[in-house]
Amino acid sequence: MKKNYLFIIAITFLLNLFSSMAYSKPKDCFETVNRAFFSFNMGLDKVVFKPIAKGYSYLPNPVKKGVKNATNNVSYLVQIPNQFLQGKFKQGVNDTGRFLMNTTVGILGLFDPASKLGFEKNENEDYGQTLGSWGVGHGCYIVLPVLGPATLRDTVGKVGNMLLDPFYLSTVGDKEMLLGNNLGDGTYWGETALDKTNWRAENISTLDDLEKNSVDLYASVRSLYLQRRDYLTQDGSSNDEEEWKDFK
Amino acid sequence: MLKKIIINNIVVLFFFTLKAFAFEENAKQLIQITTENAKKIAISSEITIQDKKNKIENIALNVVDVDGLARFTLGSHKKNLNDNQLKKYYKTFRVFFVKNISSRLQNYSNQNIMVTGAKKISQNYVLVNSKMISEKDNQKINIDWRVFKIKEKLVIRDLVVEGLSLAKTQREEINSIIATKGFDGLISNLNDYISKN
Repeated sequence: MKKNYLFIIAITFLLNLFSSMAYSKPKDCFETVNRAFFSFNMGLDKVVFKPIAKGYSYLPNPVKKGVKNATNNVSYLVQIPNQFLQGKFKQGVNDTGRFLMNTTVGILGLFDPASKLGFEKNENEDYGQTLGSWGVGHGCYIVLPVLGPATLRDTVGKVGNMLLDPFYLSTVGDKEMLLGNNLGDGTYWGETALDKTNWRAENISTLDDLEKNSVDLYASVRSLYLQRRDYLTQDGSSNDEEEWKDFK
Repeated sequence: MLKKIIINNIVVLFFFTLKAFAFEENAKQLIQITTENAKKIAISSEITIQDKKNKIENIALNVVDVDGLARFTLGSHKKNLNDNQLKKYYKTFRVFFVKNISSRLQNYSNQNIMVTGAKKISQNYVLVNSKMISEKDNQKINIDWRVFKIKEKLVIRDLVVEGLSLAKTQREEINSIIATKGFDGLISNLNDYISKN
């Protein structure tokens, strides 16, 4: 009981802290450390992730398509609750239909019959975006080792994306949440690895291009990450027009 | 008399609306024509890579307000620079920008740009919406263009791909370099980029 009480106080404190930063430009509070982690991540990418992604990209297209479909399908377990938490009931119902259809008829999400039946694809939603839509500000910008760019808000969101994910709960640890079964840790980490590898393989040329054409790659990635998160949180609307309207 | 005043007002309103509408239509046309011309150059097999670069650089210089973009990218640092430094920056940025844009556009080949709409934001500013459609997998990407009317000429100041603004990203880069290396460090970084491209 005391433990729960402390947890609620901690969460309330964090939400208050972030709310005070709502809609302000995120600060790079730990830039020196962030740049060091960024260099480490770039090195890791060059030595490990990019070569794996390059190898993966040689797989036949139907295989890559199946992997993308299946990992996207698993992500609905985080996306759907967040749509409801943000009051997007229509999208939530649509994606629940997509998930049920693709998991059953689409054989665990390998195929996407839902799209053919008119269930539209929606933008991804996660716990970081939900906090943002509730008015919680970014907080400081941070670069996480291996995981890459984030903000304080998105780091809390990332923890939620994992710990509140039914797929995580029914695979990692020894809970038997899936009709009395546990699929094993390897299932979760294997799926996560495939998802990240697929993403990296799809973005080889985009990231090469970004690296080649940036005069300060760290600042460029920071800016793109924050712009993208704002775009997703605000569902495509932008606050930039006021600045441009007055620009001479 | 009253009838005449009403008719005059309607006529003035009609031409005013027509003029405003023309601004949006012209901005849409500018984007459609510019992207079609850039694609023709990018996919042409009859000209060398260097010629392609030169032609794309010419298009960029003709339709982009490079000096305006240079001012935007300096952000709040502009007021700390003297006239000579500003002149030097604008000159260097101009070369950097065309090299940068031609390098980014070289891989632009199997996509088509379809202009989908335009919204007038102010008297001299229209936001043109378009979609880039991949010929390979029919994937659609939203691209918005910030088009301004400056001395009766339409120019592009920014393009925004799925919410990612090119001008804003470049401003972050330029500001970050000034903050860590100062003005001379910025010019040196830009010149490094220019010499490599």
